[in-house]
Amino acid sequence: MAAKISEASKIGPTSAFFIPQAMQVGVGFISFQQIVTDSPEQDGWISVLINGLATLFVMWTMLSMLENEKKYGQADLFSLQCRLLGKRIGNIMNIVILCYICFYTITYLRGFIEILQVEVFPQLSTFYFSLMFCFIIWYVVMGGIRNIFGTCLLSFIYAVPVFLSLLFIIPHAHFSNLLPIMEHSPRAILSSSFMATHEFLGFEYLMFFYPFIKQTKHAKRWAYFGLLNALYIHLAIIIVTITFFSQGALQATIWPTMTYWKSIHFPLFEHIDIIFCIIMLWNLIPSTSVCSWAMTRGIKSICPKIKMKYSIYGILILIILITSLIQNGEQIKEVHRLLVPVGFIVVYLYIPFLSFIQWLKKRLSGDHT
Amino acid sequence: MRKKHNSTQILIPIFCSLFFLSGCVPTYIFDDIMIIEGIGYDYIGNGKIIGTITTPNFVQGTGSGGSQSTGVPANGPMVRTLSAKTYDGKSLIDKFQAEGQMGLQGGKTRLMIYNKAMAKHGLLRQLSFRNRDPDLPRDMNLAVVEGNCREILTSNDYQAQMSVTQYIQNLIQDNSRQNYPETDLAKFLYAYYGAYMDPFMPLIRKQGDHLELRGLAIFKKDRYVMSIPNKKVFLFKMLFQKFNQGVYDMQYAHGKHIALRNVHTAISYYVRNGNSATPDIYAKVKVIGQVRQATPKAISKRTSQSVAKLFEKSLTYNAKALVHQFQKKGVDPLQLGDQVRSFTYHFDGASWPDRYPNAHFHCQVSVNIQQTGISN
Amino acid sequence: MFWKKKRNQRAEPDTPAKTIGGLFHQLKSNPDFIHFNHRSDTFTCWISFFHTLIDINFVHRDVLSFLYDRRVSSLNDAVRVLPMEKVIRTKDLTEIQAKLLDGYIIVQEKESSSECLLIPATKNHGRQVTEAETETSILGSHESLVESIEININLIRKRIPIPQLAIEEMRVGKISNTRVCLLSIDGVTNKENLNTIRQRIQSLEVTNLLDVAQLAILINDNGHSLFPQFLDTERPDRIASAIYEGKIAILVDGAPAALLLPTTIVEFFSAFDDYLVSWPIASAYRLLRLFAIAFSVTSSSFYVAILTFHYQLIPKELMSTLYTSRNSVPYDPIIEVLLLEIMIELLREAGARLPTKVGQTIGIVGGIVIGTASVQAGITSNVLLIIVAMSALAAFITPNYRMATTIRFIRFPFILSAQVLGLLGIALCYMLFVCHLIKLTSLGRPYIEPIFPLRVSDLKDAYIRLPYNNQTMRPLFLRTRDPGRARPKRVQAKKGKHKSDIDE
Repeated sequence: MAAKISEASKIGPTSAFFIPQAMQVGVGFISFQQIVTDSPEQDGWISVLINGLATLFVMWTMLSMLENEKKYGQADLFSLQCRLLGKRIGNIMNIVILCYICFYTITYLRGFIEILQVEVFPQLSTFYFSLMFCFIIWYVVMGGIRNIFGTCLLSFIYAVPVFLSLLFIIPHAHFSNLLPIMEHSPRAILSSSFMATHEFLGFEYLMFFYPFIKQTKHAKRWAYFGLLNALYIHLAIIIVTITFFSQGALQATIWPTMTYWKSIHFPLFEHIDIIFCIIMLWNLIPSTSVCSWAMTRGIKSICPKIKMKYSIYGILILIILITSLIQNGEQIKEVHRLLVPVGFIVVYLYIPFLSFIQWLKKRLSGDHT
Repeated sequence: MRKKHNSTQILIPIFCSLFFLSGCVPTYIFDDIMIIEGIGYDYIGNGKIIGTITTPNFVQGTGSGGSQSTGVPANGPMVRTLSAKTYDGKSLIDKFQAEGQMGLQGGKTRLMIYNKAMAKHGLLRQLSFRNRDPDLPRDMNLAVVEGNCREILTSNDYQAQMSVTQYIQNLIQDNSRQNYPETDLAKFLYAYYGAYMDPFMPLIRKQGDHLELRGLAIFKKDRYVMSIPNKKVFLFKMLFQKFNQGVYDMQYAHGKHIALRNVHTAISYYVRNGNSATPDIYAKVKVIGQVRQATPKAISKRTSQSVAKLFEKSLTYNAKALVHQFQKKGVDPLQLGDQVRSFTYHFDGASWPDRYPNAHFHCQVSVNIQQTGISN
Repeated sequence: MFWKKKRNQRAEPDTPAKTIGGLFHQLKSNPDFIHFNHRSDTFTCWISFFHTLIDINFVHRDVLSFLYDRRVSSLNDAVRVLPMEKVIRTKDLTEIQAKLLDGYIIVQEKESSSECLLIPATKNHGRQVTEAETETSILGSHESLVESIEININLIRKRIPIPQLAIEEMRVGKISNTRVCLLSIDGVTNKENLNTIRQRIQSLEVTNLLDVAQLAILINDNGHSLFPQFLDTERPDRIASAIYEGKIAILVDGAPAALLLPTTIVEFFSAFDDYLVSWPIASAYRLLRLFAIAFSVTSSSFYVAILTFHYQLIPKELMSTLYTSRNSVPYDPIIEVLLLEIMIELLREAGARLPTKVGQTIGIVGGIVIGTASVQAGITSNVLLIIVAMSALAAFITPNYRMATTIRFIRFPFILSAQVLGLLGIALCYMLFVCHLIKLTSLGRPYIEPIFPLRVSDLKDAYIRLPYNNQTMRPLFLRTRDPGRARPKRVQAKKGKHKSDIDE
């Protein structure tokens, strides 16, 4: 990764807000409530809060690690691993991380296609749709990180009416559903907090495009702000969902947000759920393209000969193939369930571990100089 | 300077041709399908049901180019109906498909009605089916019918110039802005799936050439148990939710009535000893109202205070009686159990059905009469 | 591209004249070339010119009459006598040739002598300054650019009477040698922009350049894009205000329009009138235009998508209206929409090509007769007729004609994709277009600028227009060398002191 990043392809500090935001608030927005409220019922929002606050801590370790790394070379996860763990183990870890990213992308893409298949077009072919979609992804990724940032920003803007739709719930909300607070054992709350990891995954992608950010000092503030905003959005949704559904109904509903959209009613629009579902599709573009972009970067760092503009074809074909291999809802659920521990290990264990190694290495080499 | 667009030039045509060639999703062209508006279920015993569906029939008599006469249909949509025997009504749409000239689609169903026998038989299967179907709107109305659904949906001697489905839906929706609590599929399922609560629906009857609301049909889980009459619906709504524009008619002496239209009603619950054998449920109701009708000389500005007291007494007494009635039947449409749960840490849900009939219901109503009309 | 170069080389005159005599020989066959021996008592000379390029009265009055003067006996005398500020004396054949074709008179002592006097006698034969036609305005100035570049520069200079207005002239076209002028303000306009555009124009390989729109297509950032990347305008007031803002204007001789660059997409939707009415009204009209464009692009595709796939979305109040109007139509919605859209497109094209008066008739015949007839014949539904007519109307709300054409064009991909995948298809198509717009640049500056990259200060004059005293900064995306338009403090001071209370 010797090539220096040209100033023209760098992006502003607000990207630290918008890109993780676009990654975090995604398809899970529609479906995560059921998983989170499974054991702690009305205290599910506490789990979300705990996990959201934990992301702040991880962000802090991430940012300090990247800031330290700047002295030694390129401050992204791939070169960082190579430096800290040695060339060989580093590259192996890079491949592991690549697999994780691929897994993450496929989970999201397939999850959304499932929603489309259920809500809009039952006969929509997974292969066909992912092919269409990956073409758009290809077009975006070929434009570089700047374009990807653009899609992130726009997806945030387009999602605003979707978030505002939550306001219509308030007349129908049963706020007594939230009571009694903290009834469940910390164990139940923490275990569902672990399940909520799925929802907050995505901010770790900051580690891949960090070297592309101008004025990283400002970016830090944006990064924390982005996490807080994602936390706020998820908290709002979970609270709204708990107040709108009775616990029994919530457990019987796979996509509570969609079901909720079905029951709001505007004079001019009916079936607002289809419209919102399609608006949410916008969110898939940034998350998939950030992932594919990160994968091309990773491949380039492992094998500098493969140019990003060629590896993108391979990656997209892989994504299309694996996505269309996952066939039914049960498999999708399985994949989603698997993402939780994997994501948990990567974000909450591996990143602090790396940070620790960096600190150790600095300590050891500090003695030498 | 300018970028090369070689790959774009190759891929975009490929993309376009793929897009247009391989996109095969079935179409539902609006005027080539039959859109189901209302569904009725009549139970005829032995697990068999007569299902009736209505679809609007917009055909105009003016021949080609409806524009020649008027843009607006002169006579509203007519109705086509189909009915057939089926099992538990689950595959109603598929059952009818053989009879429909065009594809039947349920995405705009507005109404589902059940006759009393059906409601007593239990709606379990239909409900889990409805909850699963992504196509159904959640704001559709449900109702229990006294009599025969098929008769209601197929007869065409109504005074209203609209399809019967729309007529019923308007009836329910307009009333739920006044005395009746809001009911739709989402709210029904909320109570149906929720613990410690029971759902309810409005009760409809065909009376001559019009339809009327008879009160509320109260369910225990999916089975119809009892009904509350029209005049008690105000009390029900008062204890159930915040509302306005309801009318409560009080007979304070023989043959003497005062009707109160509430401008605002708020209810707040408080629960003590939630896990004891006899929990105490306190309901605090605040009514702000205007007197709309009164027997002559029944009320004046001076006496409004005392009339308010009368109202308070009447409302409190009747509300308690209503709740007592529910307790006796072991149904909880007011979601009192959920209130108890929300006030109690580690609520003992398993024993709740046994404790519910013994719970003490305390009700305190305060009435504030804002104005008494423009004459004394 | 190699083949283009080859062709250009071939296109040059095969045997360029080596001597002045050769040049005359080459030109002699032209009927409008005049070459004659002028004799007076004291002075004999050869005079040659194209009588179609020069002002013949001027030659008679102000050149020949002076050459008859007794004092003139040589070219030197002639220079002294002639009442012109700039008489060129040269031996350079290429210059002579160029000037001759620009409308100069050549005066020689002997037919074969290479020393020539070049006397300017250019005839300005063109349209007078007329009212703006493609960008009409109700409030603002009614002048518009004309074909003559001198008049155009005059119109702009009048509005920017400062010495810093820099005009840079270039010649484009291997054969045509068209004059192209870059206008900018020294000290405001970004140098980098200026260099980029200069370099792009200089590196152009074309034989001829006839219009400014052609230049725009030749020098834009992405030649395959459907979207015009440089704004063309015929209003001198708009050009002037853009130059003041820090943009570059390009004028081409023979084209009654100018290019403004770099441009963002929102500028295509703002009219100059927006700056002449109070800001709430201007903002409201800009939003209206934006809404109209969104409507124009998507309405017929929504019609197709909803009627073909998503009957659920139709409001129940509209159902019977739609049903009765669709009832007699035998085709699928897509066929119906394409039929009407293509019909409207034909009408527009016919209206644009035909003479104005016939065009109007065609509009009425097409719009009213065919429209009603097709509804009555049951080929299209009348709801659709309303939708299509409104969207056609909405497309031309765009003040810029090139953008309006783009908007009319991009509805077709939308309609087709609506047929393939319904709303999902529309969404995919929309995504593709938006991703394209994100990628697009105008002179290297982002095309959809105030949205991406998000620059809040530029949003003040994009979708809405805030009052002038809020707009103390030049647009950020122009990267001007003097970012401030006015000092905010002074603007505040001019407004007067803040009152501490009512009635004080």
